[in-house]
Amino acid sequence: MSLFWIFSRQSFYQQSAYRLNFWLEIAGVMLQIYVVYKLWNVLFEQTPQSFGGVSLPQMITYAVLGMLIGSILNTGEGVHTYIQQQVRMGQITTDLMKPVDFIVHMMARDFGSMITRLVFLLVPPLAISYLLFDMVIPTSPLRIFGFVVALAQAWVILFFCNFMFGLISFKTLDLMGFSFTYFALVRFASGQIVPLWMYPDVLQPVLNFLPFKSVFYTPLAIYNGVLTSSSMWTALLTQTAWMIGLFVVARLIWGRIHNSLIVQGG
Amino acid sequence: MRENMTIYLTMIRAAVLTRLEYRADFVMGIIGVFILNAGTLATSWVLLSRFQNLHGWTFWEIVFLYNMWLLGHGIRAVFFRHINMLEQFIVEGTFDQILTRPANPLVQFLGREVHYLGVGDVLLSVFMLVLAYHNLGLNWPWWMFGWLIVIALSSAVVEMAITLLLVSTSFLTTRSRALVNSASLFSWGVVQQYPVDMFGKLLRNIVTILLPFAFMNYYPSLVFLGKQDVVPWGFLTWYAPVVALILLFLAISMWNYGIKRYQSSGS
Repeated sequence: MSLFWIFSRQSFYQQSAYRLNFWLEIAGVMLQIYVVYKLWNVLFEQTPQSFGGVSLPQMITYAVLGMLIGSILNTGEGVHTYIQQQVRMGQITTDLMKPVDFIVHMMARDFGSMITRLVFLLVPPLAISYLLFDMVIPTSPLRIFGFVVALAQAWVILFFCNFMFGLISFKTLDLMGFSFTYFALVRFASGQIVPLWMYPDVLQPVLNFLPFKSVFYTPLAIYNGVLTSSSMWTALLTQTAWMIGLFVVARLIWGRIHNSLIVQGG
Repeated sequence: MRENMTIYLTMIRAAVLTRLEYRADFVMGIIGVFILNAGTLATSWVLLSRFQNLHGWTFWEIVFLYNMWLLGHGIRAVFFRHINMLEQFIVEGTFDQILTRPANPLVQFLGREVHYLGVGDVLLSVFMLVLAYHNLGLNWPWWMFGWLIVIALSSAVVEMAITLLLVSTSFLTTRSRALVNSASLFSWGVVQQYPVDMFGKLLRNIVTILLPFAFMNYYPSLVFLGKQDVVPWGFLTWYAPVVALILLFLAISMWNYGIKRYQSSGS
C-alpha cells in the first residue's frame, strides 16, 4: 500500500510544478462555469416548466459541478494518454519491469493526479461559484455520504474505461482518431453537460446500457438532490456493479495483451 | 512579396506530399473529426428538442452558427494548425534552423506543415451548412454565396491572426502555450456554439474587441440568417473582413517585434 502512495505523491509533484499554467487553468474553468450558468439561466427564464420540477439553483448546481468534476474525471488526459505515450516511445518496458502490478501502478499514478486536480482545480473554483451563484448545498449526511461514495466509484469506473481504451494503443500505437470518438461518446452519454433526464425517451435505453451514466450523472444528481433515497441506492449499486464488471474485464484483457506482448527496440 | 508567395507554395506542396504518405491516419482522423463534431451537435439537439430555442435561436440556426465557425476553423487548421507549436519549436531549437535559411522566417514557419484533420472540419461544415440552409428555408440572392466564401476566409484569418499574435509572445517569454489555450477557450468554449447575445456585456465585449472570435461566426451569421435587425449591433455583421485584416496586421507587427528581440534558447 505504501508503494501506492509513493507513486501518487510523485504524480502530485509533477502536476503542481507550473504556477502560471495553474492560474490560467482556473480562469478557464471559471469562464466555462459562467457559460453554463448563463445557458441554464436563459433556458430557465424561457420555459421553466420544461425542467420538470427541478429548481434553477438545483440546475445551476448540476451544471457548475458537472464542469468542475470534469477536471478530475478526465477523458482528455489520463491513464490512456500515459500508456499511449509510453508505448509509442518504447518506454512501456520500464513500467512493466517495476515489481508492482501494472494495473495497481497505473491506478496509483492516476489517483495522484486526480487528488492534485481535486485540491487545486475543483475546490477553489467551487468555493468561488458558491459565492457568486445561487446553488444548493446538500445538508443531509446521507446525501453527502452518497455523493462522496458516488464520486469515488465514478473515478474507478472511468479509470477502467480509460485504461481499457489506452490498451488499444498496444495494437495501433496511436489513439488519435479513436480518442475523438471516445471523448465525444463520454461527453454525450455521461450527462456532464445536459442532465440525462432531459434526453429524449428513445435514447434512454442506450444511455442505461453504457457505464458513462455512472460517471457523471450519478454523483451530480445525488449532489443536487434529484436522486434521493431508494433511487440513490439503486444508482450507487449500479455503479458498484459496473466497477466490478469493468475490473474483471480489464484484468482479462490486460492478461492477454501482457502474455502476447512483444516490445520492439526501446 | 512575390518571392515569398513562391516559397510558401513550394513548401506547402512538399508538406502535402509528406502528409499523403500516411493514408490510414488520414481516414481515421477524418472519421474522428466527424464523430467529435456530431457529439457536440447532438448535445445541442438534445437541448433544443426540449426547449425549442436558445435566446431566440432555433436548432438549425445554431447548426448554422456552429458550422460557420467550423468552416473557418477548418480552413485555418489545414494550413496554420502548427502555429500553436511555436513555443515547442523555440524550446527544441527547430526555430533556429529556420533563421539560418535565406528566406522570410514567417513564410517558412507558416508553410512548414499542412494538417489533414482540418479537411474533415471543412467537409463536414459545408455539408451541415447546406443542410441548415434547406431546413431554415433560406433563399439568398446570388451575391450572398460569394459573401459566404469571403466570410469563410476571413474567419480563418481571424482565428489564425489571434493565435499568431499570442504565440509571438513566446519570442519574449519562451512560454505561450497556456496563454493560447486560455484564449482559445473563448473560441471553442463560447462563440462556437452559443449565440453571443445570450451573454452579459462583459463577455460580449471580450469576444468582440479584446479577442474578437465572434467575428468568426456570430456577427457574419446575423446577415446570413436575416437577424441583423434583431440586435442593435447588427451593423457589425459587415465588418468581419475588416477585423480580419486589422488582426493580421497586428499579428505580423507583433511577430516582427518579437523576432527582433528573440534570443535562442541555445538547445
